[in-house]
Amino acid sequence: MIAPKQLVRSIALLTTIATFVLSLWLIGPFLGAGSADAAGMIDIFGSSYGEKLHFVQRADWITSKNFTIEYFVGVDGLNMPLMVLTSFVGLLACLASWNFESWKVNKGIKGYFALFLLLETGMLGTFVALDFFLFYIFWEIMLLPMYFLIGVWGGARKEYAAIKFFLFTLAGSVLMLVGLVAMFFYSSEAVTRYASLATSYRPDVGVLTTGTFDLIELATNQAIQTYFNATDTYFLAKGLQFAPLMFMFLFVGFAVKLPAFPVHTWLPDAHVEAPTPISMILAGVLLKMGGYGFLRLCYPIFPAGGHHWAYCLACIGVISILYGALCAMAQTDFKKLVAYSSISHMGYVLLGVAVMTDAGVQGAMFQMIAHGISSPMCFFLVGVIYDRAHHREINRFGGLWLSMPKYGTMATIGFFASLGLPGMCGFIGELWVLLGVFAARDTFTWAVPMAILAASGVILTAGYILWLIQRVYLGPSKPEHAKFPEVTGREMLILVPLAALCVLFGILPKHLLFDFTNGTLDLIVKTMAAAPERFGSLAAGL
Amino acid sequence: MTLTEMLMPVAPELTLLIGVCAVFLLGVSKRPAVRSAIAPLTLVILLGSLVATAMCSDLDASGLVGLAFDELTGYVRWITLAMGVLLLLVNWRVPTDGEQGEYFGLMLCSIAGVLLTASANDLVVLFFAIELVSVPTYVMVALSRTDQRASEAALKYFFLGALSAAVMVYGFSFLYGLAGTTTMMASGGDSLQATFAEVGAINAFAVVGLLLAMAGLSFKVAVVPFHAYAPDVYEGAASPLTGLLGFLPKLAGFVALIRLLTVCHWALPDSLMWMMWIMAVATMIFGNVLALLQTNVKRILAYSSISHSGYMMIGLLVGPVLGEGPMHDGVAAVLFYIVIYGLMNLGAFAVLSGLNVRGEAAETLDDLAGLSRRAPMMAIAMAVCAFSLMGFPPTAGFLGKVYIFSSAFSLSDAHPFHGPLVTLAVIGVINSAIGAVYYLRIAGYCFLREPGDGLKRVGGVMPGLGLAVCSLAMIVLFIRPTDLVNRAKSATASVGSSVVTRVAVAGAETPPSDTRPQ
Amino acid sequence: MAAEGLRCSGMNLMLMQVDFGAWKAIGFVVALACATAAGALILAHLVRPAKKGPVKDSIYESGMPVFGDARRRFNVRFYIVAMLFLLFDVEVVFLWPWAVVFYRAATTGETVATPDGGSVGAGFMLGAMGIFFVLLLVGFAYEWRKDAFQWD
Repeated sequence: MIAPKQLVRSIALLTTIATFVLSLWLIGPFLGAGSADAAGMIDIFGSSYGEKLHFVQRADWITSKNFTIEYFVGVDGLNMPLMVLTSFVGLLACLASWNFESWKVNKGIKGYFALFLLLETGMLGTFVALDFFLFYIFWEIMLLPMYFLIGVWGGARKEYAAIKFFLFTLAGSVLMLVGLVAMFFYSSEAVTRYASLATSYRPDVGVLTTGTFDLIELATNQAIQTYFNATDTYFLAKGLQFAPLMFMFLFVGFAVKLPAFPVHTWLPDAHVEAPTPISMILAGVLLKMGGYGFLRLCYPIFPAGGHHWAYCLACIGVISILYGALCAMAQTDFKKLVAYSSISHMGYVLLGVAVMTDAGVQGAMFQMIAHGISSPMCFFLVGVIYDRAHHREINRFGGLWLSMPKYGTMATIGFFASLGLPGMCGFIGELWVLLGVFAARDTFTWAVPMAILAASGVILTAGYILWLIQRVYLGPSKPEHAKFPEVTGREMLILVPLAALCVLFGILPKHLLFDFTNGTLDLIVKTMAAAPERFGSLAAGL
Repeated sequence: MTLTEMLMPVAPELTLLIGVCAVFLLGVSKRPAVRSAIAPLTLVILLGSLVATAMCSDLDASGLVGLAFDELTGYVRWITLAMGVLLLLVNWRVPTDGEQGEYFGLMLCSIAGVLLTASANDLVVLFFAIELVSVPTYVMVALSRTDQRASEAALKYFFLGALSAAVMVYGFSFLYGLAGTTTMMASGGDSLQATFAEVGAINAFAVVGLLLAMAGLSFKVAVVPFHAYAPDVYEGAASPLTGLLGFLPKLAGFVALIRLLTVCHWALPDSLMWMMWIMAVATMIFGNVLALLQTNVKRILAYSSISHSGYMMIGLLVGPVLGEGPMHDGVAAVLFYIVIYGLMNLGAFAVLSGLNVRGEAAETLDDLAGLSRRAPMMAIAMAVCAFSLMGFPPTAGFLGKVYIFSSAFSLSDAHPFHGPLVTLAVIGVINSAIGAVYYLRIAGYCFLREPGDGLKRVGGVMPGLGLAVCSLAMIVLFIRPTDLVNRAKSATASVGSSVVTRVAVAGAETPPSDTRPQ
Repeated sequence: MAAEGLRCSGMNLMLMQVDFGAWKAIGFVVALACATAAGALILAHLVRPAKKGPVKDSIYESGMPVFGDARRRFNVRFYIVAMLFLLFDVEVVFLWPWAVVFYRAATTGETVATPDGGSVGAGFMLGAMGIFFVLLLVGFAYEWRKDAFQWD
């Protein structure tokens, strides 16, 4: 009551703009990476994973004897692009929330924008946190606003969708909590057992003597790595090797978010019920946390676990690609179709990471960013037409291009980017992943059939997207659509930057992304590749 | 030694005792003004007791038979009295006019009982203290509202409570028979602790005695299979009182269990360890699964209270492993968690008591529907408490759960119960995910449903204040838990030192908790 | 010690660990209890003369004649009377030994040893009983005010 609606929205918008501008600052240290020589690359990315972090801040948060939980944040090539993406999608989603008062559930604007900003805080925090405990807290905190945003401002089955989303993610993350605690105690055991190896990457610590939550320490400390990935380190019972088990505990949590095949069912429900801006954030940013989690936690800390499960994960990736695409093809609800296409696209991320080759991981990273641009655009396009037609039945549309030419053009760009048309952002990621899978054929017996299956996913994608465009945008104009107003200036303000990025990322993948990320990704891949040699039969048991 | 010197260490308890006399006498006054001053007077008494706790730093118990003071006593005194203030605030308007004297007097008795439990060093005193906690609560349940269900609940509570007390005291008699003394710990001379220090001293008699004593105490903390009364009693009693029932008896029970296990040097025979392990698993699973089936919020919270006892059992089973803070130390984790649990549980019940639906106290999930539209602050407080009970950041409940579960990892690999305890923690984590379903349902009803008619805010300033403190504390203790964590850590100092005594006697070389009597 | 601690097959250990001697003793106590009860009954059955008749079979063979069922309702006021009686009775039980000790201490100046090695005299005892008595008086006043001493 104190704040008029306009003011609430304006404050939220200004906040997201400021966040976006500030996040652009993060790119600074990486700018020279494209033309840097070897020494310059080391200067930007470090010579091993975790050696060089930018904008580091650390402070003790909870301290007691023997354990410290830190506020530890920092940026490297892995999370920087995701941070920028988050603030960018956040800004656009805030703009997309501008017509709040015309929504069917027009209530509690203050609550909506407060939760919206809390959500953005949670997302940025998850990407930037480098202390496992802090990461976990941000990871969980993010669920709260999402639950309420879907549950309060959602569609007809909002309560079901919100609770399903919450419980799926929570169920995934409780195992992560077990992992968190176990990793702390095992790291403490590791530094006593291999005291001679326990030199910390931090000069001020010297030799590590206690357990740690520091994600970089967990991944780089030789004592911890040796103990974690050893074949005779067990959890719970003899025979349950630590690395594969912990890898799985973490993986399940991330796979729910990704979402990968058997645990994906929350996604279509959540998307269909969520309001448009929330769908944009859900697809654009939240799903990326799964992929980010693999690359930040699973693989650097448990490379042996990654090798152990490589087949399994690659299979899940391929199944997700094909299953998502087939499901998308069967949908008649516009939004559900886009939701299933997300599952299909994120399958490439899992596949690319699972094969652990340079191209695969780079492709996975690119796919995350590309999908982070194209899927919010697709969801917004659905939202635009839903605002006018108040339904999402694909078969009831038709000939929209004729009644709304600008909208039709934008829609075509967005959906073609999602399809993976050469020259647009979706293409590069998928291509790189497929190349990465082929590149793994020496170590990976089934790499070629998998690559072929995954590539056929591209055909299925083309199938459902072209069919969608045909049903919705092409054909004769329908009289009931004639009165639909053309996209407004505000809507264009959201669509044009996304469309431009869809094209730019397709044309200049190196300059816009690979230059910034590959330095860090290569270091991670190097760590993974060295694992079989270092940790013996556990990893070799592929 | 003069009488004053002797009574100095029990000044907090004495303050409460004097308060009880005053409150009882004023309660029978014919003047309404006097009667309405009883609640403020009770507040003054509690604060006075807090001051006494702060002032009596010299805890020389040498003149007092059956009492001993250590860090745990101090910690329990602080948290009990501080929580007591909150309990009073929330219960401010519960008793009907003319019954304030009895209600608040009994509440003070119950609080004094918890304080005594923490300083009891004799089985008889311990038994007396535990009953001083319980007996007033039986009466309070009946007094709390003029409803047949309240009388029924009080009767059930009383009969089962009396039975459990009998079982407990029977167990104590076995222990006495074994040791020839009821003194629990003594630096020299006969004590239960000295008796159990000998290898093999925990023989079949001791097992039977401990089993019976634990069974009696398990009733107080509502552990399966001694939990059956909880849902009925919680449902029957007025909501603010239920917040008290979820804290004082539980705290007293856990403190008594900690004392009892300290006496046994935390080295129970495997049979008892397995029994407690099974009880912990059953408690978590029963509590959470049965809560899923309820539609009455008070019953949901009753089952949740059972499941939380199960979580705390994990910490108890782990014991004070290293004495190095909640992350490594099961007892410190329990001591930390019970404060958090008391606060969030009281907060949830305070919300219920602050709401009226068509003239009746809110009880069911449907009553809460659309609370966010009718009373937004209440809804937010409920959500904070529900998420804290769920163990979800950014609330202190999350830290509590993390400490409890992580303490299970702190036993070394060589310990025979390392595997079972880690398994227990995993079961606990899975259970907290099951629990999320019904807590989320509570929050969901508050925020996602459309309001029904007749939902009204009742209560007043004081209960509202109590609620605000409870829910704010959840956030504040999440952001800055270090103080409480370190207090909980130092509270286990004397509990841990008993482990050292055990090693000295047994001459073992392995770390304290890793040794077990044969 | 450590080696035995490592045997982690819990249930087996539980059985192995049982101190069988002590269990035997418990068994003996239980058996003794059963035997005493059974023995008394059997012995009575064996030695008593078996004479039956209407008077012999009546409830209180040679006592008061029975009027009505034992499970009838009593006036609730009797319970209050019973409780009050119990309370004051127990107090007297407590006061009596105190009075004996106090009399000696007050007349001869004798002191009583405390656990910490010190000793207390008559003044201390009087103070302690004073506290007890004040509590008693508070209860008494409360009961009075609550009309516990009024029959109607």
